[in-house]
Amino acid sequence: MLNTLIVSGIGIILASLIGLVVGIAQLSSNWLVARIAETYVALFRNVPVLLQILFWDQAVFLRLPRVQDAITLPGPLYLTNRSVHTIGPQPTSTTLLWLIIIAIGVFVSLIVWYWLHQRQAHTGNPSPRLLIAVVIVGVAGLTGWLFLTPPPLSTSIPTIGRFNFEGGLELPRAYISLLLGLSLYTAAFIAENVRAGIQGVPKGQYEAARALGLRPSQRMRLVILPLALRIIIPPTTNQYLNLIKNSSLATAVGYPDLYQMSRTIVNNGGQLIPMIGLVMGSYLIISLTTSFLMNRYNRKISLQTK
Amino acid sequence: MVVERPVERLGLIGWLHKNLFSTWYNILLTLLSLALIVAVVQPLLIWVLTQAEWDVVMVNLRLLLIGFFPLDQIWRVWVCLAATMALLGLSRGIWPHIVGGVAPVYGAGLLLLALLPIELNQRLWLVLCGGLVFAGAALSRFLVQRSNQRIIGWVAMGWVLLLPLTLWLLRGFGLVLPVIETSEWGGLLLTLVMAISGVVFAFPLGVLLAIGRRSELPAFRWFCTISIEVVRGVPLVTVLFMFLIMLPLFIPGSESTDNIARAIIGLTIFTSAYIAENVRGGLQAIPRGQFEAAKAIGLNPVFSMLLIILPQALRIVIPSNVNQFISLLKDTSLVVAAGGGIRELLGMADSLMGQAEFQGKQAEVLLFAGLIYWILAYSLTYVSKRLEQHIQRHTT
Repeated sequence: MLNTLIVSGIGIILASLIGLVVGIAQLSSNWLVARIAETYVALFRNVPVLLQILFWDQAVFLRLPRVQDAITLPGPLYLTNRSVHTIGPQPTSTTLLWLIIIAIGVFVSLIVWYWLHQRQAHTGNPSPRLLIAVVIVGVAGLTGWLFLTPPPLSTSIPTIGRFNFEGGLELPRAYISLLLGLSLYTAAFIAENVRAGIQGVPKGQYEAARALGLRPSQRMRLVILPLALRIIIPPTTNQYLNLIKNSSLATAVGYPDLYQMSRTIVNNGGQLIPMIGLVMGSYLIISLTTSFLMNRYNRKISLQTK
Repeated sequence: MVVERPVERLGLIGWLHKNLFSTWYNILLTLLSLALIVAVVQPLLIWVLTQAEWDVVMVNLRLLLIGFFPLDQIWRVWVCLAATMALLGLSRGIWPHIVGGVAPVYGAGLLLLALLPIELNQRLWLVLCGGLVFAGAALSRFLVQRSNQRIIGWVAMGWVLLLPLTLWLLRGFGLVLPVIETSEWGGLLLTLVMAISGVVFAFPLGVLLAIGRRSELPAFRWFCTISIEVVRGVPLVTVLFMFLIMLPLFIPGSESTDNIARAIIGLTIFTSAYIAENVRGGLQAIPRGQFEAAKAIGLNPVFSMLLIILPQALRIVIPSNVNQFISLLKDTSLVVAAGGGIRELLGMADSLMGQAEFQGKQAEVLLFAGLIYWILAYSLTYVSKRLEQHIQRHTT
């Protein structure tokens, strides 16, 4: 269950980032960049996601060398045919305290944000709200880091042991393949949504924004993106839901997600009907929660008509 | 007097400057893109042309395409393919704006495949299929130019009859044609059979669910709404798992019913929920006035739905249903993850990869399967895009 959530959450973030970049790149005035982005979309959209996951798992990562002669990339990042190893954070005795300090920082910055927002609504004076809020959280985190002994996080570097790497952050092959397959596939769809969204903003809006004397960055941030988001959000919600549901394909590469675990339990003589009910119920809850959140966000940014 | 808009003529240098090197960051982007292309394409090309061992695909070509379909009955598959290609060609002549380049590319592709080192028999079939595309296109264009409209009806009927006739011919019937059990079907053939029958069966079910969701009877409406939302909320793999693995455990005797039929039922139920949502969108787009007008001319609810509302609504949702078919085509591969031993295209690739003699050649097998999926899905996407533009032009 937790693994399903982790892989879906990270997958959604990755897919959105790649999708946004590729979607904008498709509209680039640079001919080469636009063609590369279009090729990416055409390529990854039209091949089944399960095949892509299997490809990463069987054809790419399985062919990497064994642990003894792992490929080392700067970082250090070790690639082997079993998993990827990299530097990982290691919690220490003061981690909890540090997190509490950061939480307080977030709280304070939210209050300041709200206050500045109100002030702008009343007086019309704009202020760099986002910057101030980020600085407050940053200062909180930094003070905690400097004054707490021992430091809240220690880094643990993977070292090669007798059979495998020890320490560090280990990302199993199944996890990486699943994540890559899911995010690259979904990103192609999101890129199409982003492209359609930006193209869907009427030309008059660009011209009106320019007539108001807004700078190009302001034009994009204050006029075009809010309008484009209205078109982008609903189909992208569907893509997020698809990604979450497709994460059940973990079973094909043996990553222990919700569905895979339930199958193992059933195979070991567990109760069949309650198990499958539990699995379907869990996916339903995850899906409904996601679509509820996205619908609220959509309503917030959509046109307010009386 | 009409003054033509002056056409910008740039020349090669001008074009390069405008599109690739206009500003400093554009120059940077161009160089980065070139580096990316070289970094990705070069090793890939070297691998594909020199290092990859494609004989694993060539040896298993038959398994990947038709599974264990008996070789002496292979003409049935060819006949089905030839019929499909003839219809594709005929459609190209009638609707050139929609079918576009797909038909000539498929035809030329089949003719090119005939150059491969294969048996003479198969080569002749390939030439026949490829030739039928071009012959069909020429014939229908000729007839349309002579304003013979009846051909359109015939071709439409051909597409409708294609699936039942294909299934009937492939499976065979007792006396003249020996029955070939579906357990011997496989590969690409099975992928196509599952995807097409899935969407054909799901379509009427989806329309019914969509109408039911707007019904005025609360019990009926709630039933439709809940079933649509539940099916849409769970992954396809779990639905397939239910039908492939669990159903035989619940219902004694059903393990003898065939696996593939159960997979198709699962795919149908899953797809119908999505089609229902598409159709609902189409129904919502019909103005209220149409309902009132239908009532005003004295049609009862059933007839007003059948004769007035549905024809308009379905027309709007054709493109989204084509897209649904594309995703179903890709999703048939999920039967591999559900278990149950169905060997469609990806399932066959998966079982080939598991064999000891083909160890270390997973990339070749998967790339080949991926290429087939890609060709099918890409051409369908192309048709769906053009269909969308066509409908938009003719509705506004």
